[in-house]
Amino acid sequence: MTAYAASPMTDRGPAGTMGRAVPGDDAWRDGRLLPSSPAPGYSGHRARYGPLPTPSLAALIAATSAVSLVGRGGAGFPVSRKLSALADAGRPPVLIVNWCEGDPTAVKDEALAHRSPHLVLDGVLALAGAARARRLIIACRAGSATAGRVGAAVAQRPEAGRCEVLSVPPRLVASEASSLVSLASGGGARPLGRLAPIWERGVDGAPTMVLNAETSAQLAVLAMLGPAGFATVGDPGEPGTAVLSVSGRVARPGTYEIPTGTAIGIPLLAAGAPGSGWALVGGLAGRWVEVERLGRTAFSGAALQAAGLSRGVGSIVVLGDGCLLVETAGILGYLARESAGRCGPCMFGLPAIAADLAALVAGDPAAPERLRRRLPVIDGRGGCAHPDGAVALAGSALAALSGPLRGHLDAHLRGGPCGARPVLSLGGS
Amino acid sequence: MDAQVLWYVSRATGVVSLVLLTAVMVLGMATSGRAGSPAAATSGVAPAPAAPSRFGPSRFGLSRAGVHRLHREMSLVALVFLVVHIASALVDGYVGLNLLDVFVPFGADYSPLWIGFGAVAVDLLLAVGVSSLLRSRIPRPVWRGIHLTAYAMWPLAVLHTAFTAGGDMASLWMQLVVAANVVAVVAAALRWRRRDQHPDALARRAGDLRHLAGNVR
Amino acid sequence: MARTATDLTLQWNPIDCRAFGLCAEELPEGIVLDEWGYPLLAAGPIPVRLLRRARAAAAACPVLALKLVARSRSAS
Repeated sequence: MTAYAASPMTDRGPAGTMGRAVPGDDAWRDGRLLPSSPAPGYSGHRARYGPLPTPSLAALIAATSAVSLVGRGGAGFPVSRKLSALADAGRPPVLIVNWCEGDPTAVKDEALAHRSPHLVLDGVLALAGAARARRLIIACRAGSATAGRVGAAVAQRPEAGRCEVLSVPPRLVASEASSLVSLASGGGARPLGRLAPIWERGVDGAPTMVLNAETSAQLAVLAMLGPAGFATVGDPGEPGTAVLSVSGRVARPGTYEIPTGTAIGIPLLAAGAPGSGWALVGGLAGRWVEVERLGRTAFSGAALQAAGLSRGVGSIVVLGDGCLLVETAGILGYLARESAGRCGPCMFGLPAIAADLAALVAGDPAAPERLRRRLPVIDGRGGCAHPDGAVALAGSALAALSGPLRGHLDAHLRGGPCGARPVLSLGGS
Repeated sequence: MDAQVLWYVSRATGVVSLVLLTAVMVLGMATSGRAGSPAAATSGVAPAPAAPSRFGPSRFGLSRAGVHRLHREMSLVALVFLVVHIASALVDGYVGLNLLDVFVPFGADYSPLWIGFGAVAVDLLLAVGVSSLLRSRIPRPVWRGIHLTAYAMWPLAVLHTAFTAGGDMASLWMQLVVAANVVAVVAAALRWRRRDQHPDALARRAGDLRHLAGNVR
Repeated sequence: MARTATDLTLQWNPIDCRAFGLCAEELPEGIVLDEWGYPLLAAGPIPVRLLRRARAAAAACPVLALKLVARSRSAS
């Protein structure tokens, strides 16, 4: 889609190296994170990308700030601020790579494990050296193909002894940041709450940073290319690339790496998505948007925000001839079943709004009013962001159904279920 | 001062202390469950109460929060009576107690076993009181563990009352007072022992169970 | 000039909260319970006139899920 030409630059400060020259531009002509032909093994990876970068923490903070790198796990938090918090804490931190692919609409963690596992490991290892990390934890979903690939990749590395591979229960909220902290501290994989920030007191009481696998890979690319090399592609305000999972009623579901700022219509076209209908952007905690409008939207934080969307976990589910209401009800049922069961607003609020949506599918005229009353009561009151995501999704569905899809909602209210089958097949633990 | 007066003071404040401690126990058990909390009456998809002005059934004409406060405040009053009971017994000197006997059990010259029960009760009461004052600074399981020793403290206090008040126990009113105290606490304890069926408790137990299942899969 | 607002606010821990509901009895002006019995707190600093009762609300919680904290601490 784009030539990932880099201008190898050298920015050797006294505290470490950043953006050392790479052996030829070949490594970056293909996808940055998802090359079409993966490097064979660890030695192949090193031959293609050169030695592991050894930047200083200060250089990483400056570089992530210069390219406005944001976390790719869903919250979209600026990486430079997370790194600054580690620097401010002044104690050896614990680093966790979140390679769990919690959200069932995303497959990018699996794609990274398949095609660039060593790039992901390079990122966190470079950071571990820079921040003098006391523990380095690679969290993968127990029994997944990703876990197998990651385990094999770690075993090939000279740093294998430094990396702890953490097996995470296959549940959605088990891969929430504080759940990982709890699991890594010897507790259960359930959220700890939002009152004590993990970057101050996380695993074993040490400052802790959780990096999404893609974020770690982006960090590796940034450390190898330097800010200027990193910014040769993408939107100038937020340069680089992003990995997008496209699924649903499309001909070619999969992961696509695009330069930021690319019109989303292009990967949709590549995936063979229909030109109309609705799509869910950002994962199960995402927002509904009309495909036509989405196609014109650029994939960058600012453009998505202007369109009332957010990057979330970088996934798009195309609805096609599916029903937005049926789909939302199905997702909310799943989110309610996936509650960690630790706080009241989630334990009771999510089943209640899931029931409201199911009632709406069946044509209950009182359901919209119940939802409008309940959503603000649940929003922001959970022990983690899980209920907030459910509220956002339900709110987005309600907005679509009282706006462009008013007619379809009326049909439900008159005649009950419309017969559409869910696009996503969500299990539940 | 007339020694007889002190002896009467000690006996009277002893009985009052027991009655107050009984009341504190009953009030504590009344607030420890959630039977009166708003959500307990309903479950599942219940309509939202419109800004409730009154929360749940009252007990003894008080709100649940009022009962809770009375539990804490009455425990301080009981402590005052207990201090007078002990101090007057020490100063009176009739039974030859010293300060050590108040805290260290089974060393008293007079009725060492029953006075000793009183001493153990005093120790437990102090532990419960001090830990409650520091409640916000100690881990909740620690506080709760100490607080539950009140259930050992109270029977010891009853035995201490029944068997040191030898002469008084011969009177019907004293027998009635002790019996009434025992009945009150046993009744409250039976009610307290009922399993917590609040929706929050049930959902939490279900969540724990599901979490364990998720770990073994 | 008399201050009408303190720099304190109530901080609720949803994971610790067991829906006892005592807080709402102590401070109905600032706390109502949702349909499941969990507290909804009024936003903003606690007014001086309600400070005593806000303290009582925090003290009433059997599981210490409600705390009075400085506003700067809870703002993060």
